[in-house]
Amino acid sequence: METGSPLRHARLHDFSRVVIVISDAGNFARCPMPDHVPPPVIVRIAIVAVFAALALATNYALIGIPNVKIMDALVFLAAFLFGLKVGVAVGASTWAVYGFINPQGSADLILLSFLITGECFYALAGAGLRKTTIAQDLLESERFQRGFSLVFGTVGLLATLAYDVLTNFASWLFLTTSPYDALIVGLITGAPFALVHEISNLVLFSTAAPAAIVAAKRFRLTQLTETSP
Amino acid sequence: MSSAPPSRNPLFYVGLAAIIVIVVTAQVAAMYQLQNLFGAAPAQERIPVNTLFNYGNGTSRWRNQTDVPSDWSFYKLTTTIAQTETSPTTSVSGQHYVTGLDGVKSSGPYDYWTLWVFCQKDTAWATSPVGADLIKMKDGDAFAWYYQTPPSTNPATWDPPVPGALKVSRCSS
Repeated sequence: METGSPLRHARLHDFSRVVIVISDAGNFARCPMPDHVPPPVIVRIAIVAVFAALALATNYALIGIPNVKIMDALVFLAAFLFGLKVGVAVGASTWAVYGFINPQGSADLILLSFLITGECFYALAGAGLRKTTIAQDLLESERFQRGFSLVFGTVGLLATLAYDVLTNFASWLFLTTSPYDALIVGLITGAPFALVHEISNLVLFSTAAPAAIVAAKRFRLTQLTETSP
Repeated sequence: MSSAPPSRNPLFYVGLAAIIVIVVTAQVAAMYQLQNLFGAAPAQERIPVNTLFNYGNGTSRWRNQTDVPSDWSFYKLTTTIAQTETSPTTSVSGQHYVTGLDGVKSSGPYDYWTLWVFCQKDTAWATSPVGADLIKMKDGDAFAWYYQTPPSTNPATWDPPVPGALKVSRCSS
């Protein structure tokens, strides 16, 4: 057993549910670890798979409602709870499937690269917000404050704006005479779609995202975030 | 001396609310600008419009000089001159996704009706940057519906509705 390892290890608490907690070496020394606990990298891969599956399932379920997707909030949550790498992996793997297997037409590789880059904005927002005092307040306070919704909603809105600007620009990049034209035409022609996307994400990020984080805190899943050893 | 975190300051939340208002207002303004770009001529005036249907099977049909009220959208014109079928799911802003015209229907995700605008200055065809519902027509405008199976969703790879005709990415202003 690697009792002295500085690496985080997982332990299982088998109550009515299974809770996986990445523990530090000190805690590990006090709690014997079952032999079958997978290493953290396997846990992270499993988390990516679960989040990507959720994102894909909800994307296909909402295929009839253009630009209203839970995927963005899921990528944000994955990054907030489990770190930037997990969030980026969820966004990239989801788009790798959804971009090619899509009843509305598949994206070419160039557009797909922009879509994945845009999706990473949500991962950056989640991982970035996690490092702020507001996130610490949310994770530590006993009562949920309305201010959390405003903060999460604004962060979600700005990440969505960045995503829409980038992807609308990319849609016109090779159809116009200059990148500036592509930006202006993309912003104007994509405005109705961007508005629906931004308002739906504003609502989702201000309601579902903090609620999911509070739920994760109750299940002690928030300690799975990336921390330096 | 350590200062209080910004989250404890009421002005911080006022700033966040202001950001939300600014972003949403900017998007609404962009949408308004979009409608102005394809804005209608004065109401009740009647204008001639030419429409081409290319069924993708070697058959084409022109409906020339159709006399329509200037406040109609091109979608409304399409429904009056062709048997139009749309997707049952509602699209953004109540727009329609045309799936079939005169009995020629999309049989899969990779073949569909593409919408084209004839650019008078360029004497070339360009794919419409907006759906048929958002196109407001002007005197002498020409549009085309072309059923095809393009290699990708990128309009640059689509064929123009008239074989051999010029194609531009967008009309010169």
